This record gives sequence, structure tokens and C-alpha cells, in this order.
Amino acid sequence: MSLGFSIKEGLKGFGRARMATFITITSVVLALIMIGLFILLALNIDHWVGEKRKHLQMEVFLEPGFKEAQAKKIVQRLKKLQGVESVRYVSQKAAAERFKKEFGRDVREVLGTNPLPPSCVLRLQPAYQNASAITRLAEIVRTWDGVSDVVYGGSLLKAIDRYVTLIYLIIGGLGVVLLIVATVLIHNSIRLIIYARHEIIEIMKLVGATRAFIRRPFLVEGILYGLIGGAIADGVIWLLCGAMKNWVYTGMIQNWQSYVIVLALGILIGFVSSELSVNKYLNKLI
Amino acid sequence: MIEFYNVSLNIDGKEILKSISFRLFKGEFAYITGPSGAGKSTILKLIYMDIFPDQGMVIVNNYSSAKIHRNEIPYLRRELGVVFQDFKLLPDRSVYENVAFALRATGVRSKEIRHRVVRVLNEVNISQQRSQLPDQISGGEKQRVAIARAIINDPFIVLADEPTGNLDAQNSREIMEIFERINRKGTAILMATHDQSLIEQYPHRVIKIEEGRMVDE
Repeated sequence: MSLGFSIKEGLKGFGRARMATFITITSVVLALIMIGLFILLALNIDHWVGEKRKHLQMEVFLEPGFKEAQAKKIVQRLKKLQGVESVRYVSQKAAAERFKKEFGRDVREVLGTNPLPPSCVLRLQPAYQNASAITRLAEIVRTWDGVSDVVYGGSLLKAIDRYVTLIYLIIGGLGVVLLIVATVLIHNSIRLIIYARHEIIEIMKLVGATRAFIRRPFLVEGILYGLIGGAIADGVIWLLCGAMKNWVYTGMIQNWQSYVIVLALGILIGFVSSELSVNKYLNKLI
Repeated sequence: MIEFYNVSLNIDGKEILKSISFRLFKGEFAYITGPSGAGKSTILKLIYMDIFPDQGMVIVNNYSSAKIHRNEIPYLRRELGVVFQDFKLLPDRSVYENVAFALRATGVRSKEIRHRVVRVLNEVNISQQRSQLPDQISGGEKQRVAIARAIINDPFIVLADEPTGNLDAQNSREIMEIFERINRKGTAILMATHDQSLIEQYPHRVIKIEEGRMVDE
């Protein structure tokens, strides 16, 4: 059977019921803008959390007066630990320099001696940049001879782990709800379009067109609604992002994948909605 | 061949047809007559399997109402042609496109469509109006287009539901002449009508229905 006929009929149908077409596309656009903004929100939260995790480090303080040779052994041991990406040794002298850089005064001049202990600064592999892994690691290292203290941003990590998961769940849940709402909205609009075109369906049925053949133009039409709705939504999201980047949050990030997802979701919603509507109608007829 | 075996049908608790039995043979011309609401159109719907009997069986060529699968119905309908009183033409398509639509909807190739549509439009004398829209032609011409669409797939039978119901006497006669011509070429015709004068002018077998029952043949 001719696919060209289905595409042609789908395109014709698209231009026929202009009001219904307008309402359907508007529904798709609004739903997809919301979904797209949710995707970008999730993307930005993910980026922010990633940055926080990336810059997270664990500092292992050694006993004051620890000899450099002994410290090197600790460094080697730390490097062998699972999840450790890099270890940087900060000698007592380097610690004093860091102090001076941060506070503007030489600790040796203030106190007459350098009480700052040598330390090892650890960076963790991405999979270990979470509260439970870093806490476990800190507990191991704390028991080692020569280690006086282990410091890391545990509370921040715990907060991130707890709330980010919750936020993702909320965003995901709202996204799914919106997808369902959009599908129902478009399903209803397409149902109206199908009822408006009952004549053509009836004639197709009478002349012996198969169900698949009758369905195809409506599926083409549904996909078109999704495609056009998705493209418009992408345009609006892009403009909104630009405005937000300029006036609200300069660190805002966006990627092309989000726009592709919005477009793909549009096509999917259009396809599923029209499939549901036309099947329901044909089940009544044939 | 079409066979009705003790066909009964109720819709919403109302008896529409009761124990209808008849056979229609290849190339036959028959009328189904009776007053409005007698069940004439229902008999046609049972033939193109838009509805199914509650009791009994309808057989159309190799298809039986008792056994046919939903997916087979389109293929049964390709063996039939159906004409209605209200023409059922697509208002936004030309005469040519209305007829071609029957072929396009069944997946016939474009090259073949043109050849077949031109032939059938000539057969019903409507080729001059091929590019006009249904609103631009008369009732008689619309019915010719509907007949052209019905016969384009070379059906073994044309089912006509009050095809002259909306036409004046002159146009009715012209339409009947077309049906006669189609029948002479070997296509069976089963026409639902309550127009006695038409039956007298073009006499053929008559199946008379009253209140859902066959009262005479």
C-alpha cells in the first residue's frame, strides 16, 4: 500500500481543520515547554551538583613533625585506596605558605613557630564523590598511625545526596504527569479532528481500506503535530534560556540533547495520542 | 453469490429483521422493497458486514458472517460496490479524486489509477465534469460519481440504497439506465427502493420486506 498516499492525506488533514490544528499544536507546545524546562532544570541541578562533587576533597592531617619520608609512605598507601583519584602532599612549609596566602600573615611571625601539620589532599573518583563512600574512606584513614585528623565536606555531601535525589524524583514525577496530561489533551484534540473527518473514514471503510491504511494518515498527522509542536517549544525554550542566562542566572547551561529530547517527546506524544484516538474510533466503526 | 439463512437482528431490544432467507445469484438484478424502516438498508449493511446477524448467517462469496475475521472485512468490501441515497462524496475533492480515492485507499498504483478512473468516468458519462467539486454538479451527476466509485474495483455486485431517492424522474431514469448497463455487463445489482414506479419501469426480481419480515418474493 502506498505510503505516499498516507503522507499526502495526513498533510491534507493537517491543513483542513485549522482551529483544531491550532488548539492541538498549542497544547503540544505548552506541555513540551514545561517538560523542556524541567529537563533543563534537571540538567542545571546535575551540573551544579557535579561541580560541587568534583571540587570536593578530603584532607588527611598527619601528626605534626612527621618526617617527609614517613609522609611519602602515607601518600603511597592513600593512592592505593579504592576510589582515590589523586593525592597531593602538603608539607608543613607549604601549609604555612597556604596560610599566608589565605590570611595574609605568616603564621611563623604570629606564633614564632609553625604549628600547621603536614597533610595529604585527596581527590576522589566520580563514583566515590558521595557521602557514604567518602565517610567510609575517612573512617579507614582515621585509624592509620600518624593520621591526626581527616576533614571533608561531609555535611554538604549528605545534603546533596538527600535533596538532589528528592528533587530529581519530583522533577521526574512532574515530567511524567505532564507527559500524560499532554497525551490526554492531544488525544482529545485528535479525537475531535477524527470525528470531524468521519466522512472520509466511512468512505475508506466502504471501499475496502484496511484498518492500518485508514489509521496511517492520522498517525502522520499526529506525528506532524508533535514535530511542529516540538520545534516551536524548542524555539520558545531557547529564547527563555537566553533571557534567563542574561537576567537571572548567568551560570545556566543547556545542551542540544535537551532540545532533541523535547522534539522526540513531541513526536512520541503525537504518535501515541493519534494511535489511541484513531484506534478507539475505528473499534467503534469496524 | 449472496445467501441469507434465517437472518434475524435486534438492535437495542427492537426487532429489525426476522428470519430473512434468500439467495442472490451472480449477475442478478433484484430490488428490496418495503416501507421506510422496514429493514431494507439493514439487509445491505449485513451484506457489506457493517453489522452482523444475531441469528442465522449471511454468506457473501467465500465470506460468512459467522466466521469472518475483522481483518477480512476490507477484502470482502473490495468485492462489492455500495451506492447511497446521499452519495457520500468527499466535498473537498474533485469528481476524479472522489473516484480515484477508492483505488488509492486500497493501495492501487498511481499509473493504473488514472487509466481505470478515466474508463469508469466515461462509462457513467461524467468525464466532462472530472475536475469539478461535488458542490458544482447536479444531484444526478453526483450519483453517477458515486456509481463510478462503486464499480471502479470491478465488484461482482453493486448494493444501492435508495439511489434515486434524492433525484427527479429524469435523473432517476438515467441512473437506472446506468444500473441496467452495469448489470448487462455481468455485475449483480441489489437495490433497496420504495419507488414502485421505478420497479414497474425496470422490472426485476423483487424481495419485499415489511416490519423486518420477508412478505413476498
